[in-house]
Amino acid sequence: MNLKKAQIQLGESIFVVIIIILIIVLGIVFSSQAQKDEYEQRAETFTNLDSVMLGQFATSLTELQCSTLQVEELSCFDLHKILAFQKLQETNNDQSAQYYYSQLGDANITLELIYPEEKFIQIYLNELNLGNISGVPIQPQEKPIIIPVSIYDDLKQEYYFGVLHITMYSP
Amino acid sequence: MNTKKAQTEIIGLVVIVIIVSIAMLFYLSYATGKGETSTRDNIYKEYTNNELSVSFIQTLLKTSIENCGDASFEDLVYDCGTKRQITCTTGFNSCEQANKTVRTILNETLDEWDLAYGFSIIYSHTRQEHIETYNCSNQNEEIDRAALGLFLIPYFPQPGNARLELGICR
Repeated sequence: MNLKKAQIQLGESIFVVIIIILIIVLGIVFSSQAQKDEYEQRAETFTNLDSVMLGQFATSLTELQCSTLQVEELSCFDLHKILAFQKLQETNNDQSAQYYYSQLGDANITLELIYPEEKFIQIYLNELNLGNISGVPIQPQEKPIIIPVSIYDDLKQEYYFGVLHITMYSP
Repeated sequence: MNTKKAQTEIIGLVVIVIIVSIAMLFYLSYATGKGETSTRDNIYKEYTNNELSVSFIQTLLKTSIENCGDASFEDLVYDCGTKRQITCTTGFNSCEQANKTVRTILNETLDEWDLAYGFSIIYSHTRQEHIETYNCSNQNEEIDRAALGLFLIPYFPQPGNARLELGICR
């Protein structure tokens, strides 16, 4: 009789221990999943904030902005400065890529002329691809930042409607 | 003997309550963290919407209009709300040309990117010339008022103004 009672109590103890272990394991799984989610969300937020900074920086590039008597115009790029910038990238690729990589990083900045005619102009595309050299694959941001800008043609003295597409690449 | 057994059971109950409390604390801290992240995401969304709508209106107003001499879009809107002297080489008057230009640019930008938005040009005094587009798709969507591109063109020296608004739907 005593033996049977002891067996039942032992069974009870084992059952309780199993339940406690199960609860602890579930807790660990839940908390690690929650932490993982949080880190992923934080990484995404920081990527978004980085792309906001990149957008701010790209729209205020002094090399490309319109200016009258050395006063810069907001949200305006000079068409001929853009073309000269493109030429600089082509003729002096390594040096300019290195210089602008420190400021713009892994990114693709394209200007789309919308009105009066449609035309695409590649302003910056990182070709050093340091992300790939380091072995961590980089991916383009899901939603590129889109910022409308005026494009000023100094020869015709006309403003065109353009849009900057800024895509950041991140690991 | 019975008292001792009761005490042991009470300890068991206390342990269970402690475990449940800890689980609740974990869950609450997780849920609060999620709220903070969504606020940060809203800030990002608000920034991009704001940048898009404000820059869109600024850029549109500056744009030189094809076949209308030196006139910018702002000149067309001003003329449409006041004297209506501008006639483009296409034969359109300033109101018609402004309407046509807006449709073209909206078609090739916000419509092409599948963005829901509300756009309007409201002329005081000349109600029939209003341009209004509102395509927030379902009832839960509404214009993001915190990120509204808004510009007023006064008819000075005459009274009144033209009001341009662009808002991206939430």
